[in-house]
Amino acid sequence: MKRLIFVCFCLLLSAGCAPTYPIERLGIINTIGIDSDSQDSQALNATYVYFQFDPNAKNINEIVSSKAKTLKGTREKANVKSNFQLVPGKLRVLMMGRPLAEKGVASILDTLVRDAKITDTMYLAVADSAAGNVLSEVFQRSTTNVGTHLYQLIDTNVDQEILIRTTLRDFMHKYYDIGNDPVLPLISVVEHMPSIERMALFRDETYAGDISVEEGFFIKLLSGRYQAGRLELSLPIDEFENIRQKDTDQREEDSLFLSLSDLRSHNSIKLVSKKEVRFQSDIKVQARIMEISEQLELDKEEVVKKLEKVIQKDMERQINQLLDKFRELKVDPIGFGSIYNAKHPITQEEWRKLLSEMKLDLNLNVNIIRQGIID
Amino acid sequence: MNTTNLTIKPTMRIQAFYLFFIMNSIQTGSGIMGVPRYIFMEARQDAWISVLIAGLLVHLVMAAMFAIMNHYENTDVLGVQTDLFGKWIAKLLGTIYIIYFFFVLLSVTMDYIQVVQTFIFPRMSAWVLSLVLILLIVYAVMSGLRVAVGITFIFFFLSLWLLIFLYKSIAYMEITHFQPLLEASPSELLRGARHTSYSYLGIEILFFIYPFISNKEKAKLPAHLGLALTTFFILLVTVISIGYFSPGELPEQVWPVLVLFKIVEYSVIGRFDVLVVTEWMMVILPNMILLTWIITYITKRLYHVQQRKVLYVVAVLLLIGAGITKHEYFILQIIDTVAATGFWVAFVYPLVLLPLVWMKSKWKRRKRGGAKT
Repeated sequence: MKRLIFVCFCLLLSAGCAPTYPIERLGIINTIGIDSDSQDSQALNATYVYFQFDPNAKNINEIVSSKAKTLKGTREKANVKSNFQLVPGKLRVLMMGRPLAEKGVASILDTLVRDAKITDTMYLAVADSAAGNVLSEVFQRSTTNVGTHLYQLIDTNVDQEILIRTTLRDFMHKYYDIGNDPVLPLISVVEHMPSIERMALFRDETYAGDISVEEGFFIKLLSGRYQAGRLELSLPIDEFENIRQKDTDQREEDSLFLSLSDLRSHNSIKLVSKKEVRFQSDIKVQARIMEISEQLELDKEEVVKKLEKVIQKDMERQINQLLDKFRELKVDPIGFGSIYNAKHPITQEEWRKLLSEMKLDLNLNVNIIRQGIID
Repeated sequence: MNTTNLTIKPTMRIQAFYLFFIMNSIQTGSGIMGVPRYIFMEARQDAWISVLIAGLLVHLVMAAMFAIMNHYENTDVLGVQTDLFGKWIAKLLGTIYIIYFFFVLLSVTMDYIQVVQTFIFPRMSAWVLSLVLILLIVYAVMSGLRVAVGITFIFFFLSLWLLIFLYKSIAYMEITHFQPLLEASPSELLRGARHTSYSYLGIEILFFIYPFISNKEKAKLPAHLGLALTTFFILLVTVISIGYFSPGELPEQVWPVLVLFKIVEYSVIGRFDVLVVTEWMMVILPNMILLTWIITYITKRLYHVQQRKVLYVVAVLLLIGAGITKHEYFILQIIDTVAATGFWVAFVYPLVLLPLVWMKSKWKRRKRGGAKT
């Protein structure tokens, strides 16, 4: 018994040796914006948005910028400017400026992965201009809480399957995988509010180009699966000339607009010919129509079939357009290379050369299962 | 005087089924945190085959150990060595065992402290952390083997739930990482299998704990099952790591298994990996307690020193050893050396010992037969 008390006592005492982190004195970093300095190309400019737990503070967010050669160095310098100890344990978003992304981001991400304190589930993003400007503009000009706003902006859109999930882990995984390139949301400021207008494509670690969020839909369609996606299409109206209900609808448009929602998809990609670098993709899409700009008799099977066929054709056209873009930029966000690599091991450089010859046979199957509560 | 056979008081004996927990706990500890990386560096995407090969071979070693022990009535490996090589060589070999076990213990302690410093408290001194661990070890070992085994038993269940939280990394696995299958050459597979040795270390405990088992006829099954569970754990984390990490990413991870938990996140516990590292103490502690017990036990058997005194000396040495080391490369070097030595001590030595035991008994029988005629 005496021994037990002694051991407990010692354990209790030694617990005091652990460093303490009183929350009132911590600045919990929520968002970091990193840019390369415009004058000194080797230096980094970092902007930290952090939470402070001061009951008297008007704004729970605080923002501080600093300049140094390394990312950890910028934190030390930012610490000097702030009356809190800045800690990165709850970092949610890392935003990189476009000029920096064009130079390559691997060295910055390396320090994040190396640091066990930084979570793998944080989001990465690219800012349309300088990341620091985006953060400080939103911080100063809008009333919103910039740190959580940015995180929630990405998070809710990922949850709703509008964006591709782009956590640190996803980025590193695709970066290290042979024949797979990362994609990140590209954030711009519209009326003092951050907004995701486009997606940034990466070639390995460098920014290679961008596509619209709508085009980003097809990346996920080809590389993953949708549980509840959505898609807006504009189809040529001529295709429906004989099935349009002209008597109730006299609008004169040259396109038919429709929106598919609760879209479920399943896809499988196979390498069919190594010599021709030809892949075959079987995609099954199931969706319901919730909005359509023309009156069609959707209760008739042949009308639905016709509509499915036109949607199919239009999606194929868009996918092929997107693939052309990828071939031109020499990027592979869908990961054809890793499918190739699984059959015939290859290096990243070899795959880059093969990428322009890559062909895809699409086997798309669209199935409209519901059209709402009216026909 | 017959020094080979031991008589253990019935109050100090343990049931055979505890062997299951002892085998599994002493093997699962610090090694498993990093093992997928080392196997993967040799056998690439076929690393899981290496694990299966290694598991099979270790089962063979264990069978050999049982064959050696069954040759005698009730003894440990020290008695076997005295019987085979005489008093002095046996003492030397026993001392090698002591030193070896001490370094295994030291490497486990240092590795865990390193993990805590990397993941949770970068500024906390290694002295404090090792003091906390050593206090618990001393407290447990002081009360004898039965308490040590009891702790092993309890902590096994208290840490088993960690497995559940691998679900998220399983969901992130990619099948293309395993293809093409069977690309590694047999020699690469074997080299990969050899790299698991640090995670299978501890099997030697059977050599020392055997005389304490009350129902020896039932000892084989739990021991082999415990070993099979270790193989399953290593296989599980290896398969998940291959699927979860990119081929370029895995060789760069020092503790891939801990990183697998970094993807788990809840609104109540934002950083699940911190919880895992803390909980890992329950995985590592039985391991350390059993190792310390072996050291004190061998010293007592060889040099007739009181176990308690040995325990204090081991505790102080461990505190100093774990306290003064700071550099990761040094720790990795010690682990590598222990793993390399352990390969010979734990896996090769029993296989060498077995034919010697056979030869000796044959020779004895012939001598006795010769005397009759």
